[in-house]
Amino acid sequence: MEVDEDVRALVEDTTLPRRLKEDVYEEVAARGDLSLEAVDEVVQAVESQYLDTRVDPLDPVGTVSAQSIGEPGTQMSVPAEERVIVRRNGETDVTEIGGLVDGLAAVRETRSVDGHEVVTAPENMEVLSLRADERVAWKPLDEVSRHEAPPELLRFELESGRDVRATKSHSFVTRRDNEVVPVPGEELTGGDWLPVVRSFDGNGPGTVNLREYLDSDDYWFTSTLTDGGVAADSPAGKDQTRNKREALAAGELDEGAVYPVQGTVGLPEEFPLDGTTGFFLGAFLSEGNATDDYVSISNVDADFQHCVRSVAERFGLSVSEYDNESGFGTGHGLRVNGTVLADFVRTVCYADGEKAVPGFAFGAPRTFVRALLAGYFSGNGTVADRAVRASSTSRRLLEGIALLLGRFDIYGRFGSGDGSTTLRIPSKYVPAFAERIGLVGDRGDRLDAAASEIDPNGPDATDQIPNVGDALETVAAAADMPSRQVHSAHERQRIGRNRLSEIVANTAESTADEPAALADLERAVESDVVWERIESVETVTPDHEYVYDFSVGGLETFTTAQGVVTHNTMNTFHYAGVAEIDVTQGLPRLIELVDARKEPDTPTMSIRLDEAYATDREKAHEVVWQIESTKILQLGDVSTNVADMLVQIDLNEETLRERWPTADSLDEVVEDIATTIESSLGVDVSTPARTVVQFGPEEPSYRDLLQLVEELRDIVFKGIEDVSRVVIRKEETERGEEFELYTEGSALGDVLGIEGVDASRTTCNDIHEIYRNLGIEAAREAIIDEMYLTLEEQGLDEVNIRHLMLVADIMTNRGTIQSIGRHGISGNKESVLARAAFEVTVNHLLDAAIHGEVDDLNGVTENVIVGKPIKLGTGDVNLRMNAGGSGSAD
Amino acid sequence: MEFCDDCGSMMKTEGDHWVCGSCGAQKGRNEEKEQAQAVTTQGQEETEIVDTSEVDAAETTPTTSAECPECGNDRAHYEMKQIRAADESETRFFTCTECGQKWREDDH
Repeated sequence: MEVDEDVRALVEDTTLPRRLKEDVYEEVAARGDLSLEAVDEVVQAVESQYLDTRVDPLDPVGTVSAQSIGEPGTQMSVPAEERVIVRRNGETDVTEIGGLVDGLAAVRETRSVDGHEVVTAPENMEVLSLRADERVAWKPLDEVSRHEAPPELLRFELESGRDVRATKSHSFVTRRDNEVVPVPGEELTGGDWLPVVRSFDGNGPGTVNLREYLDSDDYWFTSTLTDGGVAADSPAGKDQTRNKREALAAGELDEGAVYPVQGTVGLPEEFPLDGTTGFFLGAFLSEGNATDDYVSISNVDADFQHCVRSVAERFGLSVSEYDNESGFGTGHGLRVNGTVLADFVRTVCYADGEKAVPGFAFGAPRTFVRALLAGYFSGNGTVADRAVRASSTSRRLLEGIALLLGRFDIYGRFGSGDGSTTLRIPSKYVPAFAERIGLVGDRGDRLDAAASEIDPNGPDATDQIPNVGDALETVAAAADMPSRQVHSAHERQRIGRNRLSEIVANTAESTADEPAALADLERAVESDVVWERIESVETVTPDHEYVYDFSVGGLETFTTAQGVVTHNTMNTFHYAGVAEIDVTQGLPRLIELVDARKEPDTPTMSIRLDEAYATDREKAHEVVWQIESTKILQLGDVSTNVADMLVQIDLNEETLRERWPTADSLDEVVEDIATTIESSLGVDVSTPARTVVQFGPEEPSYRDLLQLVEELRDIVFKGIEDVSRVVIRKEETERGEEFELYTEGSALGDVLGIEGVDASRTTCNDIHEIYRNLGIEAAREAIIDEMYLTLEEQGLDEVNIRHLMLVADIMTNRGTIQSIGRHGISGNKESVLARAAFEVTVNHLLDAAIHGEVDDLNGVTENVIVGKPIKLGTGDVNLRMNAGGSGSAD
Repeated sequence: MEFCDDCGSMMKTEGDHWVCGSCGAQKGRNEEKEQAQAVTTQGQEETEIVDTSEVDAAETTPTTSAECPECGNDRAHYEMKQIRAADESETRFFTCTECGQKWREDDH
């Protein structure tokens, strides 16, 4: 590839593999007009990306290895009949998740992960997903999965009447501290908040292909005549096909149309989704009826009828009109004749026997959706009490309508009674409804009248934003607003959206620099979801064998047909197996203690922190760096140059800053490191670059050089030498939840003096160290504690502590720690026979004989050996006999 | 590393050429060859603070089917440690997922 020499030098200088370098050259050549700086930037970025993604041998990679270390939360899914909204190739649909996933699993490759069957989702499949910035967007579906249903599911009912069912560990998202965070379902209770979509976009196609909805046995399509399709496509046979081709050519039949067999009245194959058709479908959903041959809609309103008629005109269909007398008065019915239309309507507007919003409507163009909603509410809606209501026996229909309202940022609630459900648009949204959708006829007038009376910026009980954390108070303070205005909202941790919007606007105006909290609040106001409280949580049993899940990128959320946002998995890094500190337990540990071994096998410390450090993660990290021994390889790359006899250390600036947080300047730290090397290795160290340290042996000798490198690896630059690893855990103490440090390696003396360490609550498991630092009494206590802990861990915690106290007392009685064995207590006994009976018999006897030692026979062992009663109990007293004298005892 | 062409002993660098220690012969240096051959680099070890304060043991410890003696639940977290003699296998420590009851099992 021909590129500039400078560019080539720049790229060749990097550590990228040949293939990537060639790619860079190609790109640069293709773009042509990049400046050298731009190329430099690009190359740097590419290199850093490459290095980031490179994996070292033995590194765990990806989620598979995380799962093999520990088990992730299992069973997080929704039941089969839960309906979800998805979009494929731009066309939306509301479908049962079970059917969808089962269908995919049947044809695509599945893999089994931890009891879940996982299938990669087909391309172009999207779901409505809530992002971390509280906006709702269509996101690509990565994977779908299913697994056997657990015996119990949770069913959440929200205050709006919506409900959602899921497994206990299935996670949802909620609002905490002004942020959207995942939370497992089983942790949610009444009063917690869940998000419901109130606004989303759809960029679906403006037409829908009837071929998908009509049975090809009963219909035929003119497009099949002209696209060279086989005659077998026509259900009527070859002759018919030829006739029809002629008719098409003669202009009697339309191109791109659908005709029923035996019929001449048809519809365009690409059925348009616009204002007219939308209204028609909406009207049908509200009070329509369809048979094989016609669609009938009855309504007394003249405007309404006009809209219905215009559909018929549009497609050249005939309309029959009639009046009907019924119990409610005179009704006027319109019948639009046409088999194709009737069949189409019957197919798309029904699901499982009840009326429902057609799946493609959710993503259809706005004019269509608006018209559909207008048609529906014009037929079925009532305007009363500053709200708009619609009732139906089909709950599914109303759920679809509620979701459609989301296309116009309007939100609705459900109520039920008498076997029917009611959808209610609260007053806050009525003006928006009137403006964006509007109704025809009388209802329209009433709607406009009602809308004009309502103040859309009034208080709203239905649209509250919960858990804003401290943001309200911060913002109020910054805007010099009296805090009482936000006080009650802050206490209750919820505030109406309108009110919050006002506060945000005021603050933005009055303060010059905006506090970060303001941005968070703005985001809350602009969000595409309404937060609803959970009314009730109950356990239910699943109806189907399997439960299902979607895996979506980003915040991992997807939406049910009722608009409730649910979350996929909780992605936690699995530390299991990595953070365990191994301590000797059981009998070996008891032996260590009783033998008063100088160096325990697994020395460890448990360090508690002072006030400020115990709750602040950053400060806790500072203490960790001061304790954990830092060796050279953690600070940078070490290069050995045998040609120039030099060792060069390239220090990583970021790491240095992280581990020396209190240093004034980087140079100070580098100099510190250089000095350390100088003093411990005895060589002269130079600093050729800001973060490069270099040194070599005095005489150019390979042996010296390599020896220096070896010694370099052991030098400790920061922290305590004996402490090899520190782990932070959160522990429940009397002071609440605080950070506690556990170390591998013990250096109590050095640690007690470190700032941030609470010396009164820090301990280690090395009794000699405790003796050296804290004295003999502390050592006695430590012996008792350690022994008790060891026994407790084995489940033997009912041992009376006095036994251990006895042992500890004996070990520490002389003011130093003595072991029980022959080097300690047993070996220091005065009695020769006792020592000889214990261990190394002959030596003791021999020495005693040589030195002429005397055994006073005071103890138990020696008396047992010679056969005398011991000096306890009966033998505690010596009897004396009085010589002479008599006398009886009186 | 370069070896003397005349006497075969190891050469040392002096300034910008190689010099043989025993016979004094000199040879030019080749920067590129040296970069590739003479320099060995050991990369920085990535270490970060092991902070398990956010990790919930209940999520990460593995579970298996084991019947709890307290509540009868069929799943328990397990951990294995070789506590008894070296010729014995590990002791299994169970923690019930429902009621938190702990018990242990050895191979008899």
